[in-house]
Amino acid sequence: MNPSVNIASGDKFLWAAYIVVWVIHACYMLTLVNRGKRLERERKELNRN
Amino acid sequence: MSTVPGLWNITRRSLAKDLRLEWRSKDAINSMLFFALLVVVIFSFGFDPTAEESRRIAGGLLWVAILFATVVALNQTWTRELRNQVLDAYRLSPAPAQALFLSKTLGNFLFVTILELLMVPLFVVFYNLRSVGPVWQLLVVGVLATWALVVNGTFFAALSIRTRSREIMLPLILFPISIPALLAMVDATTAILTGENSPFFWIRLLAVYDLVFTSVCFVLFEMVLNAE
Amino acid sequence: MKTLFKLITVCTVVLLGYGFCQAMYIAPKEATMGDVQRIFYYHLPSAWIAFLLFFVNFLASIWYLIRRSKGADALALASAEVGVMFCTIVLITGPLWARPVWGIWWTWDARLTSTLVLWLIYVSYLVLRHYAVGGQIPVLASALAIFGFLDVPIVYMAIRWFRTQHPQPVIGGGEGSGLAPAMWVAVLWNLAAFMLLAGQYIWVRYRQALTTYDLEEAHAHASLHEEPGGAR
Repeated sequence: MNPSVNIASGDKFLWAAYIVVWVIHACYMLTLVNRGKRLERERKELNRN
Repeated sequence: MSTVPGLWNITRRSLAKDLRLEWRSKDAINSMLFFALLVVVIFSFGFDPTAEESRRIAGGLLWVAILFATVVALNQTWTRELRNQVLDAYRLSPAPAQALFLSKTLGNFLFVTILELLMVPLFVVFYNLRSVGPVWQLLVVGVLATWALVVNGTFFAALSIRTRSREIMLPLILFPISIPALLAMVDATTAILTGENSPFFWIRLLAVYDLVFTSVCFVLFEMVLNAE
Repeated sequence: MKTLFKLITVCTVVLLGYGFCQAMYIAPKEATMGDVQRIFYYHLPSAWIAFLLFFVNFLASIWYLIRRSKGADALALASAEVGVMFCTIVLITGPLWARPVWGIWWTWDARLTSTLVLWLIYVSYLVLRHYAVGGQIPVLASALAIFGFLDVPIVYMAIRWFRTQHPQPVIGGGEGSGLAPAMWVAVLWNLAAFMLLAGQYIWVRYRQALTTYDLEEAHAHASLHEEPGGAR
């Protein structure tokens, strides 16, 4: 039942789809992390004043 | 509440004022009319169909052309009010916000109808159009479709006032929501022109669309007007 | 709170891992479509989650207009963002599945078109939020959200009718096609995994939105106090 043994052309699409899904999730997680860091920085700036 | 003028009275006077101002300056109308003409001509260059084909595609082309001209017209809906702080004055007055919205929408409706009265004959000429179905049905579609574009357009024009890139923001938020109405107006027009299908589902859909969104606009406009 | 979040993250990772195994290895190979059909186990849960999140956005927007609660607006923003993300996944995995199986990338049927329009509406919502200026962004955005959500059933009905007039092959096997029970198991595991993940995204984004509000207020206060001769 291992799909990688069965390299039909359809499986290109299967792997492409799964990779795309995780790339999109990774990108979104990245935006969350970046915004989190920026907000943390701004909060520290504010507390310093 | 006899001191507060009725909804219709205020609407009427607001509309009359707008029409007078437009008539005096004629700025917007003239440039809009020329723009509408240009759009029709350019679309006509793009397609050179036979009579049979032209009936099939004219509906789509016509309504897309009208949509673009409408957006240009809608963008200036509120600019005069903004320039002269009229909106603030309106917020302070006891007049219902819906009256302002209705007068603006009716003004735009009249405006776009004038554009259509120019564009449709041009389309008929350039595409040698002859309708298989009855013309009165096309008029019904025209009225419902124009109202659909104009009611949401006027509301969203108010939404986009407080944004950067105001001119692009309006079509950006208007188009997605107008998709079902656009589909209906194009398909109804094509159905009537070609005589191949019944347009009545589409006409009903347009009517439902108009009802639903006119109500939503009425309910929400006051909140949008007061947002500052 | 932080340890709870970390704990849930572990659960999410485990569930996602198990969901992946279910989708790729445990679920049976589909008779006619082959292994490509396994895209479905990511495609369908993402679609359901996107629709659910847009519904949450609708409710949060209404709640905001009634109560003007910052939390409602923060939730509206978070659910729209995460919803758009999942909807993007639906719109990309769909054609990737359709092309090898049915030979076409796209068709204008009721489901696909409604999903695309939904995506367009909520992207326009996010654009409005990003480009609007001033303190009343939530009001404007909530109004747009209500319009958007009410529009979708109309779109669906419109395309359904359009398709009865101009029929085309239905992608995804039509309304009534069934799934083998073992396949449903894979769908549900992935649904659970992605719902948990979505929940975590929403939680983080929601907190970040609230923090942004607080920081803006604090900035406003600070600049008031700095003014020479200050606000009395």
